Amino acid sequence: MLIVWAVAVFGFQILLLSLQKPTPEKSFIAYESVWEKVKSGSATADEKKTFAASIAAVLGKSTLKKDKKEILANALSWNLYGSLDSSKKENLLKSVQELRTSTENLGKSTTDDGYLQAKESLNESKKELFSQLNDIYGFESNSLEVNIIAFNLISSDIQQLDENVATSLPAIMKLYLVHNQSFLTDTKFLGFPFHYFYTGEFLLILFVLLSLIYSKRVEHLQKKLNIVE
Amino acid sequence: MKKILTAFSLIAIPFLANASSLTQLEGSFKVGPAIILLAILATFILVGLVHRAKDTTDYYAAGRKISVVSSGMAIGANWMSAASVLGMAGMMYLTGYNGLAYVVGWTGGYVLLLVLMAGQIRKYGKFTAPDFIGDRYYSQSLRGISAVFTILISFAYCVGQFGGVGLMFKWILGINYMWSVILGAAVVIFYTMISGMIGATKNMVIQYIIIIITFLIPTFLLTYKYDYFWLLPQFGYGTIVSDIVQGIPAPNISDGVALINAYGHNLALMPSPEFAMPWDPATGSTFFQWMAICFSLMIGTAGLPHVLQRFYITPTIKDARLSCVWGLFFICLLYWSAPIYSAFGKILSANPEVGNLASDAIVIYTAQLGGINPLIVGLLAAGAISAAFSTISGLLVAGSSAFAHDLYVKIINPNAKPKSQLLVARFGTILMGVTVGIVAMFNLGMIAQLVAVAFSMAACTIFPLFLLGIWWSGSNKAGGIAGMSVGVTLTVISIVYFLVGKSGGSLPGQEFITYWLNVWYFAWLGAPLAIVTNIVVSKLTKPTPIEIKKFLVENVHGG
Repeated sequence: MLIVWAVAVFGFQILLLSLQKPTPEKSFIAYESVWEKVKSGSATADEKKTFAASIAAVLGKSTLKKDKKEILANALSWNLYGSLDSSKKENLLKSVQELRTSTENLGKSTTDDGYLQAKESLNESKKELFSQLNDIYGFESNSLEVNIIAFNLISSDIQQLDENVATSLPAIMKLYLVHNQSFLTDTKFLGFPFHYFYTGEFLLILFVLLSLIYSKRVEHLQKKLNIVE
Repeated sequence: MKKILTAFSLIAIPFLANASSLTQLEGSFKVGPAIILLAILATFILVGLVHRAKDTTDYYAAGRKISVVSSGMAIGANWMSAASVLGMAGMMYLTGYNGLAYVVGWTGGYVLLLVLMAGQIRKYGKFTAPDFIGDRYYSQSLRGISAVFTILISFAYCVGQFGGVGLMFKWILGINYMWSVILGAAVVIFYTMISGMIGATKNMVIQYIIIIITFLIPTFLLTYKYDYFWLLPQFGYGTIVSDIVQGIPAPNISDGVALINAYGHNLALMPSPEFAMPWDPATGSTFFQWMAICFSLMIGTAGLPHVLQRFYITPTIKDARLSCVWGLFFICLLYWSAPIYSAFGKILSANPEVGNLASDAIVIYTAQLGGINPLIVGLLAAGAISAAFSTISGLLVAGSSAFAHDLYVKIINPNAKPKSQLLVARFGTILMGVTVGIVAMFNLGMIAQLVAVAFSMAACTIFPLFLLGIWWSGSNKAGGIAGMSVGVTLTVISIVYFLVGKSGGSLPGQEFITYWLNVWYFAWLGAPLAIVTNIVVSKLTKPTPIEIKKFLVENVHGG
């Protein structure tokens, strides 16, 4: 019984490990296709959009560490501000600053009225900035990418790509956009990725069943052998 | 009277509450949840007073008057701590699949416990873990060391629980974390002191019911509201996990209605395979860590004194086994459900406006972000506190039992009268509760991780002695001491490196030890090493006395 238990738990994880292959997300493939051009400053508008979308794909992950987030925000802001003329850039920077102030005010509000006012102001700032970003990039209205980009832009102009950002970015993108996958993780079972179902659901069912079988078996054997506890 | 009181406490609590509006995730005093919390705490204390311990047998083992299902529920409540209710979902929210190592580790250990320990411990017929060790290894020093470790394990376990209580008191009362911990500690010490284990056991049945109901209701509501399979959310959330992997584009519209969180943000997120993929690099965890955590938690489960202690209180040996099965089933009900909160938490908090959330409170935030009725969110928070309380009281009883019974009576003052023993037990409860409260204020790690320290300690020290003590009559006093020494040494190394690292310092091989002998999972090496040492030294030294071997054959393994 303990062998079944051990193989079911640890054997499956070893199987997962042995089958896994580094599998990139679509965003990583897109990023790799444009990064060199973006870095050299020869990217087209579409390529810059692709780059921004791939950065947003990482910025939208809750596991992202603060130091890495700063590097991504820096690259994103440089990519955006560098393609704008001075008046558009000025407007955009103003909108980014307003959004930041509105967000801070919302966090500071202590009363219901204050909260509602701050929320309204934030919505106004969002609307303005989203509209400018949609004009520049051509993302769909209310898309998640625009939302993420808006909240991560740096509120001061960045004219040159920092060397540290340029060297760190590829490793960060790889870290967050390449995953250990196999047919066990890609197959669906009851809506779950199979491996997730197995570990999070099935193993627990198995534990209860093994325990029940063991208890009944001991009881049965004791009756059979006339053992009185 | 007792039955009426118990029934009243189950029915009346929800009606004592008051609804309140929650406009922010944190920061404000929440009237409804505060009233619910007070009502529940008052009920616990009342039940504790009615069922209070009358003598030492009552205090330690609840008079062995508990039915199998009740005992299973008590095992469940005793087990389902702040780490299960809050910490586990927090770990999964933060580290995805790696958090499942905690789910599997904390349930799989019960199979080991059942097969290797439960019936045999009950047959041995002792009250505490050090009692067993002292008798089996015919050694007062091993009794003393294991009593000290029982206290330390209970202590480490309690730190995480007090952290959970602090977080929830902070959320409900809107006071700072430090005052929340002080207030929570005061209440739980008072409660444990007046009730002992008999009050605690009665309470644990009530606590289990409160914990599980308050924990499950929001899962049905969330899956129903967001159009997932709600009849059995424990399976229905599979689609959420797949949605997280693939991403949900905005706007997310179902039956013509946009799905939004309580703040009006679209229920949308970028593809996040790192949530479900095994040991994903983005989470900073590795395959080794997954296995080490899972293994350490499993064997730690079978070595935790306050868990082992629950098997002393069943009326028969058969009941000890069945209690274990029921206990595991009741625990699994919660463990099947906890990932639902982490999955929903992921999509409900994906909007950048939500900002960074404290992972350990993600269960509560998820219910809030999902727009669940504030009263139900309040019940959920009170249920979480209830979980922490039930575990803390069990731990304080185990710790104070080791102090009063194993150290004071068996070693310091063998002629102590039962009354003075009870007094020492209560003094031990206060001392331990106060000290844990002080350590909890330092906020040393996530709840689940802090609790994991206790598991590794138990796995390195208590588990090898029980395992070999029960199953190999050749394990002798010298082997026990040698194995214990190895376990203690590895424990000390791991904790010292952790504390030095936390304080910003560095020791030789800091990085190496932090990875391979991390304080959350050092038992992967410590436990096997302690077992091997015990075996080798036992083989090389004077054999176990014949009377111990005879006792094992006739009383522990025989009929």
